[in-house]
This record gives sequence, C-alpha cells and structure tokens, in this order.
Amino acid sequence: MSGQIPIFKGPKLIILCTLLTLDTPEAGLNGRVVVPSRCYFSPSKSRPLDGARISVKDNIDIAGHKTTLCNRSWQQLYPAKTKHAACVQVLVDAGAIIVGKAKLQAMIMREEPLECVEFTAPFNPRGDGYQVPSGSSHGSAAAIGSYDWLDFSIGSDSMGSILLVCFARPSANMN
Amino acid sequence: MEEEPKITVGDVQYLLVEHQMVQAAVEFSLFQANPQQNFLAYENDGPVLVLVYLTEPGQTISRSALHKFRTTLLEKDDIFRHEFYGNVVFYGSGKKDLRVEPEAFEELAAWNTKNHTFITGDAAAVAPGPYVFSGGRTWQPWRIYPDFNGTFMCTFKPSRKGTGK
Repeated sequence: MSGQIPIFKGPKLIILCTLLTLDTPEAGLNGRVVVPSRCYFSPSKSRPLDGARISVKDNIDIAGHKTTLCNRSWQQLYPAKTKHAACVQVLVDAGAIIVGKAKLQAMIMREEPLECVEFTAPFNPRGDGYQVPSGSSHGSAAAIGSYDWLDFSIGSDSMGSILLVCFARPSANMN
Repeated sequence: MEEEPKITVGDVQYLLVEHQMVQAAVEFSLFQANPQQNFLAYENDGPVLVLVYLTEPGQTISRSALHKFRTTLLEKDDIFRHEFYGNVVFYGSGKKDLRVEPEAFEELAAWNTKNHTFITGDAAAVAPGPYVFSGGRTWQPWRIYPDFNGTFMCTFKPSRKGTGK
C-alpha cells in the first residue's frame, strides 16, 4: 500500500491511487490545488479522516516525490522517496487526502521572507499580506490560514517552527 | 480528450478525474450500460453533469429523504453546484424495488431537475454526489483552487496509472 492513497470509493470499495504531480509552483503564484467532493466520503470510527484535505510540510516524505526542504541543492541531490513518512501513512490510512507539499524555511532553519531567495516565502494571509509568516512551517501555516477548503496542515517543530507561526497568526488545525 | 481534462461550471473550474467503475444495468433508454469503464453512460458524448443518489432494494424515496440529502451533504459541499441538479441518477436498486413517493418528484422539480433515472448496480461501490459524463467516460469533478498566497511547493492529483512525477 506504500505510496498510494485510497480514493474513488463507495461504502465497500476502496481503490488505491497514486499521487501524481499536478503543479510545481515552487517560487511562483500560479499553483493550483484540486480537491474532491465531500459527498464521496463518510468519516467513520475506522476512517476518521475520510476525505479530509491535508497539506504536508516539505520536510516530510511523500512516496513518489522528492522531499526538497525548500533547498535547490537538496532537491537536486536526493531522489524521490519510495514510501510515505510514518506520520503521513497514519493519516492516509485514516482516509486523508494529501493535496500537496507546503513550503518551509529552507533546510528548516530560520529565514526571513527577503532571505527566501530560492523559493519565495508564502504570503501571510493576515493584514495586508506582507507580515512575516514566521517559523519554518510558514507554508503550512499560511495555507491553513488562507484557504477555507483545506482541513488540516502538517508542520514540524523542533525550535518553534509551529509555535512561531501560531504566535504570529491564528493557525487552527495546524498539526 | 485533452491530456488534462477540465470543465468549467459557472465560475468554478474542475479537473476531471476518471472514475473507473462497476457494472451497471440500465432501465431507461437515455442511458446505456458500459461495464468496462462507467457506471454512467449517455448516448451522446456529453459533457453531462450528474448528481448520484444511492438506493437499495425496498427503500422509500421521499421528499424528506431528498431534502435531507440536499441539506446535510450537497449544501455543505464546496465542490457541488446547482447545475448538477439537472440530471439525477438513482443508483443501486431497480425502480421496481423502490417506493417513490409522489412528493419526491415535487422536490426534484424544486431542484430544477430536468431528467431523473434509475440505474441498477452495486451501490456499495459508488459514492453519492456530483459526477460528469464526458467523452464516453464517467469522471469525478475535482475543484481547482488557486494557491494565491504561494504556500505550496507542489500539488497532487490522483491517478491509477504511473508513480509520482
């Protein structure tokens, strides 16, 4: 089941699908995200996240895709991953739909927006959009703060990468 | 069919994701069964917007049941648009095994449903909701949202073919 997501389902049928790349906006603002109808899913005790739309920080592995750490050299050096990170697999097994990989501050280090020279920083949805999104999980936080169609956003925190983005702006459903 | 099939309904754009499905037997001439690819199949190539409502033998289709379907599922779904009400498919049980209250048709009229039909098939293998029939195939419409705040490195779409990029 590694690398595949369960989708196209009826109450008793689950078909495994592969995640293909839709867009790679990287430094651009032309990215698109696609999400399925909520009618297709019915969360249950065994699949509590059935149909939940989730973005994943790009320091967490998704099978079939590179983990870039938002660094071009890292991106070029390492191949695509062959299996999901354990935390992602738990979500997928619970029915989650992984819609994309969110930006982070390069190499999970502190980086101000003007220092994000390889892949531009996301805009902070708060205020005029030019406040610092803060924290290395800034893509995850900006996504969950920007889009009401996104249910959860996965980040990571070793020295305040989630704490800072939540401090800077309310980021409900940030995990 | 173009490489990335899409459809625009009103001001909403959808990516069409192929729905390879189950055998279907069809009761009305408007539809034709295609057990290889579709649980829906129209005589023309479409595109046709369809709303699927699941049924099982012995079920009563009532106005209240349809109203509940609308209020608890459809109206809470950001993908759904009223244009899908135009063609309603009752999928699962054959019509002879269903009890359809006359008031149910009034509810469909209130939805501006132009056509409704009954298709016999395995309802356990199909999900209710909006579908698109186009190019001889049945598709799930996945809504396209713009990442206007530049938050994603890459985004995904599902496929039963290939791996990763």
